[in-house]
Amino acid sequence: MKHFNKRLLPFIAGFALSIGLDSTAGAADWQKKADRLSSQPLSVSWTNNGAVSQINLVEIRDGFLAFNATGQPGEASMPLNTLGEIWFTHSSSPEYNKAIGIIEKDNFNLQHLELLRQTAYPMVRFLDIPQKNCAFVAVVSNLVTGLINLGQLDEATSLIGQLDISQLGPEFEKKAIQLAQALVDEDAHAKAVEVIKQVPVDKIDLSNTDIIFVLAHTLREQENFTDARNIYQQLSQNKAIESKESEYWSYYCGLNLGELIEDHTFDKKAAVIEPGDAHFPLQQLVLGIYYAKREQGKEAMRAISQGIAFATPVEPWTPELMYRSALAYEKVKMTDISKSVFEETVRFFPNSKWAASAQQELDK
Amino acid sequence: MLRKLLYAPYLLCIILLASVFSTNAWGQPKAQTPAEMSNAGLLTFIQQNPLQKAMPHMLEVVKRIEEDKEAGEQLNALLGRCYFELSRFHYNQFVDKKKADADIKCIAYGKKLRKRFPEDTNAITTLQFEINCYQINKQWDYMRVALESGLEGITKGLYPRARKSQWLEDLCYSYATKALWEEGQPRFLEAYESPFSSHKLKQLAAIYLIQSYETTKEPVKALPLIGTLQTSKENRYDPNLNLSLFKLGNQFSDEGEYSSANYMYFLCLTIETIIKHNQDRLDRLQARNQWYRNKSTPIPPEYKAEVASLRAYVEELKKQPSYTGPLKYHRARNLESMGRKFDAYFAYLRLIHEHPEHDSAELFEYTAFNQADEIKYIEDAVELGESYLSKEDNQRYRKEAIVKLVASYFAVERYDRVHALGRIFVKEYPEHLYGNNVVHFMGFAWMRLGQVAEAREALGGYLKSYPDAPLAQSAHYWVGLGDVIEQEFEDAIVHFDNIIENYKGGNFYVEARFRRAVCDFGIGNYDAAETRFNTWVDDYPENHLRGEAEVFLGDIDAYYAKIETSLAHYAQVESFTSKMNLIDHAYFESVRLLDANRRYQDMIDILDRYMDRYNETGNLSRAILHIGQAYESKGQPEIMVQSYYDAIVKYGNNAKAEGVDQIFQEFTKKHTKFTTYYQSTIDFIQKILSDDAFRLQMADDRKALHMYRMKNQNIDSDVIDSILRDQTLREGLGTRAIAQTDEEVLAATPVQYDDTILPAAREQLETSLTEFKALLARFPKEAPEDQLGKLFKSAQAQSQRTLELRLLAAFDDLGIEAPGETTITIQDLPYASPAALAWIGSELRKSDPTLAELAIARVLKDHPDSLAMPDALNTKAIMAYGAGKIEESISLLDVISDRYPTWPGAQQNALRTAELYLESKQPAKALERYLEILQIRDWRGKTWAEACFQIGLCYEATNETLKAHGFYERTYLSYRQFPKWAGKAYYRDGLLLEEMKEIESAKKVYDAFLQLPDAENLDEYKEVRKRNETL
Repeated sequence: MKHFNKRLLPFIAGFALSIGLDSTAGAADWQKKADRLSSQPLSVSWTNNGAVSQINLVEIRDGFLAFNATGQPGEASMPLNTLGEIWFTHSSSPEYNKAIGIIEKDNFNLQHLELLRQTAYPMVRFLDIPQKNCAFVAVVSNLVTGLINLGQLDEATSLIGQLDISQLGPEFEKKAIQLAQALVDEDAHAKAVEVIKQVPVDKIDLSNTDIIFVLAHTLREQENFTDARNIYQQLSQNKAIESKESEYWSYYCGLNLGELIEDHTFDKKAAVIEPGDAHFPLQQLVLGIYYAKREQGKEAMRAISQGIAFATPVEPWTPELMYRSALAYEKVKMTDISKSVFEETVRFFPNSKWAASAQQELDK
Repeated sequence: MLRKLLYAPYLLCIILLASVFSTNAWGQPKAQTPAEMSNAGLLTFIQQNPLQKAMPHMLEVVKRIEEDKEAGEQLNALLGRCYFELSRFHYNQFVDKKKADADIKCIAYGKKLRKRFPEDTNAITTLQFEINCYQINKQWDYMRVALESGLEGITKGLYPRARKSQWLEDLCYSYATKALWEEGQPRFLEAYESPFSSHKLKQLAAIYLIQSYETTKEPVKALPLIGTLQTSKENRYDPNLNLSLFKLGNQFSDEGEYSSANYMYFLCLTIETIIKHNQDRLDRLQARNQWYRNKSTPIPPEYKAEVASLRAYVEELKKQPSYTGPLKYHRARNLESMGRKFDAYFAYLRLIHEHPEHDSAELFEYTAFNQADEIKYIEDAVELGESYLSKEDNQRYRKEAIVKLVASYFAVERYDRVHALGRIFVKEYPEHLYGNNVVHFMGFAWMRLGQVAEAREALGGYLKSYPDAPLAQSAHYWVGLGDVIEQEFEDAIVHFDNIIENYKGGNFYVEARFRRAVCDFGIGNYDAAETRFNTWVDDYPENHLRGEAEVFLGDIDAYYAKIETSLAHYAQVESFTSKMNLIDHAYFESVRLLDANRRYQDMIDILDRYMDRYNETGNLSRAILHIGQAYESKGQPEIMVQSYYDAIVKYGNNAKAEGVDQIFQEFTKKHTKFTTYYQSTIDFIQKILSDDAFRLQMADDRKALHMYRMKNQNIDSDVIDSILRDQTLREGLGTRAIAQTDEEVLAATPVQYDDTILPAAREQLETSLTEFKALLARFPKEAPEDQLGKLFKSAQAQSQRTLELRLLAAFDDLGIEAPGETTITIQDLPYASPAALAWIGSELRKSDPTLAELAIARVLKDHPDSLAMPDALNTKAIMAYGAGKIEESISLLDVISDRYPTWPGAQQNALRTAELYLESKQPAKALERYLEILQIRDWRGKTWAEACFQIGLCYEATNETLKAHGFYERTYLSYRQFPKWAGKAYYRDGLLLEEMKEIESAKKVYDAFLQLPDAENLDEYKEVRKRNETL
């Protein structure tokens, strides 16, 4: 288990406390600060059978939680799996609570984030403590949220990099995916991919599959078909997902990478989703692209038109399906209809990249 | 928001009360009941107890101040504070404890506060309590009144503007909840347009406005708002919003605004989609909660609540009536109106499959059938038409469906079905107007099948049974046309005349008049035909048959040798028709006339025009070859060859310019022929001039010269003939006796001979040599193979893939190695000409059968009229055979025989068909085919030899020994020049005779075998020799 990367320990000792709020602080500053805070003992209240004691958590060693009582010498330890009903509370200031309250709002700022750092970093190495015994995961999760919301993506990436996402629950998976999404939005694809590698996409909780799909879609839309396909392929192995959506998107990426076109039996293998199934239009889009790339215009028209008949406006494949429908009409010399479908692509999906492509066709 | 005020400390109130009462002169507390208590007592009690317990005491305080007419500012402030505290207390009781009447009391104290002290700082809070109470109680009307008063307060400056956005949102929500779309419209608009509205409120307002404009039937106003749906997240899945979109679509559609209607229909989510969306969300949330359960970790209460609320919502959604069927129907109909034929077709198809019980299901089926027909999905149309007619309840469009299905059957050449369904129609509706159409297709189908007799019988029957029905018109026409085909023009005239007399305005009248003229032409009444055609042309100058009429008129003038008028008629043909057979006829008949009159340049000009205009649709190869022939006739073979090369360069990269595929072979052949001819002649003349022995042999020994010519057929015949016959050459080249004097004669002096070449002969030959050298010099020095090789590289460099593929096929055909490596892929297929596709199919049949199959399929599907069809069908037949499908292979070969009788491989094809029957143990059918081959005189020779032998085998297989013997005998007696088949026949006959115990005869047969030329190289040689020796 690697809630805390022990290799960092030699580097984090000995830094003085400093709550500098300089927003222009460089990478090294946040790193130093994070390292220093992460190495501090964590002062908590220990509630057991109604009795409250004050202790300092020192570290987790080989499944044992090491701690010492406040103001007393020596160190004690106890196995993590024997914590029973013990609840560790870390007192938080009203300012901290206020910062949490506005974390999703526009007025959340670097000062607030600093409070989150002060509270959360010392907890990072104690995330192995079961969640029934403390709320440390939520605190660290809030820090990730704060970092993402204020665009501190390198720091968030570093923090996520120290955690074992698979053990921290769906909310943390979600945070990692949101971070990856933010990195993709910043065009930092390589970093996003590294973050996603930490997320067990093939086993990811169903509650997070929609956002991981969004991430893969973003990569795909940005024509990073290789990385997008990797995610789709992992999603297709996730048993929690019953649909074939990821499988078809990975075909889609493959086709756009120039693969499958020479596979003469691909269409027979791929045409397995029945009309009426939610993913039928996606299948038809994939087949339409396959046929179009093979210059099989009539087959492309049939595939795309069938897809259009079942398309809904809220699915991610629909704008392209419409765009390709316009191309197919153009191919059969129905130029007026083609033009009107291009116009509709622009009108129906003004924010889609396919609207831009359609507009280019109209401008020709 | 509701709960934020619950825990406000009430100590403040107590402190305030204490300060007021302590300065008051009302005296000291002295009694138990609040009424009896002094002000100070009340104060102390309130100070020491929670408000719930001290409620009577506070009410007493309120009562005393309310009754005090002279209460000053401080007391009024205290009263205001009490109102607020009481209002808040009851609000908390209402929200927390659900206590009865607490809301009423909360609202009452709030109202008192706002009435008496409208500018009190807590007035706004009490108003919010009131709003919240109404909201919790779902008292939307009251809530609106409260909200309106709040907004009014903002206008008056009583409340801060910051509250406006939320109150406006609540107000809009209250209208929306009660579906008061029209009444709420001003507020929705205000919320949407206000610069102070939050993004969320604008989104919400837009959604409400869309529904509002739907209610007020102002769809155009809704249009600018639709864009907000893109970012409206969960609100997008509001069923009411989507129902409004559907209705807006209908409103646009009713106005003929199909594009906007389509916009609305498309954006409208079905209730099923909405349910699925929420169900997916619910599944995800439940999965999230499950994780906590699995980890024995408490599920956060807000997660639990979220799941419960969403589950209830999903259940509620499931109870909603579905508008999906009507939506799909309206959308399909709208797509149809927009001309989106493909989309409309599949939309209707979806309706059929998903809503078979819909009231309009019959209409859906019929419309889908129509749509399929319109977009030329004929197989689909047939399936849909059959499905429609198979349902007994489908009666509304039955007649139309039959007529359309008959037409579809005709289009896919299922003529048996055309006739079967046509007969049903005539039986059910003999007098119906559509009968004319149905019988038309029936007649046409019979003609296509060449079943003229069947047409005459069936249609003649109809004419007898229903002489005056609408169908009679087409029946007469097709019976007449059948007669024309059978060249029974007199009979045909009766039918055409019937139409001309009885159906003047009918569909077939004009054509009947035309055919009537054709009959005169057929009978040989050319003058009458010409008159009729001319009259017809005058009457119908724009008719689609005008081109054909010009062809007939051209033919008639050609018959009378009126060259110029004939050419003029032919020249008009292309102005009136696009039928290539007629255009070809006109052009090539013109070419024939010009050729016969040695007008080569005119011939070239007309062919150039033809190639310019019809290089993709016409017979390009024929035109190119004719041009070549014209140059050849003009004595310019080098230009002929150059014209072939130019045609390859000009049309080679155009996949549709089909004829060019045939020119590669001709280019090489002609180039080689002429250069070889010239070079051989040059070599021969040079040898004559330089090799005296050779010259003397050729000049003196006629036989030697003849034998030399036999062996060197490329040498110019005139040159050789001149050596034989030209006196100057005969004398000048050969041995001449030197004239003797009389004395020498008398002295019997032996004759002396001069074998030198005479100058005149030398000069003559040298002139010829110079001429031939000049002719040779006109040809490019480069061999045609090299020229094509260079062209290939140039095509590669310029990405002219069509030409590249053509050249690859040509290299293969010419047995030349391609100059570079090329891999053929699926992406090449669209660039390949039909001939190249057929070549790809044949070439890759073994190495990449799937690609080969696709190439062949492309020829069959996309180029059904191409010259490459027989090759493609042949490859398909070979592949079918390879896959063990002998019947399919036979049927494909039959198609080739039926449609392409002049295909060069036709003979092999016919033999192969019969062979396959034999292989599949159907000797009777095989025999039939072999006998058919013997009916085609053009196939005499090797093909007949094989057929004769195979017939022998067939008879052997059916134990008709004597017949078998007869055919074996015929084979080896008639076709001894084909030792392969003669040998086989000898061998089989020998075996047969042995079986019949005709040992001597058998031995003779074996002997004859062994005497065949090259007998030892025949397959049966060893076996025959062995048997012969044994016998």
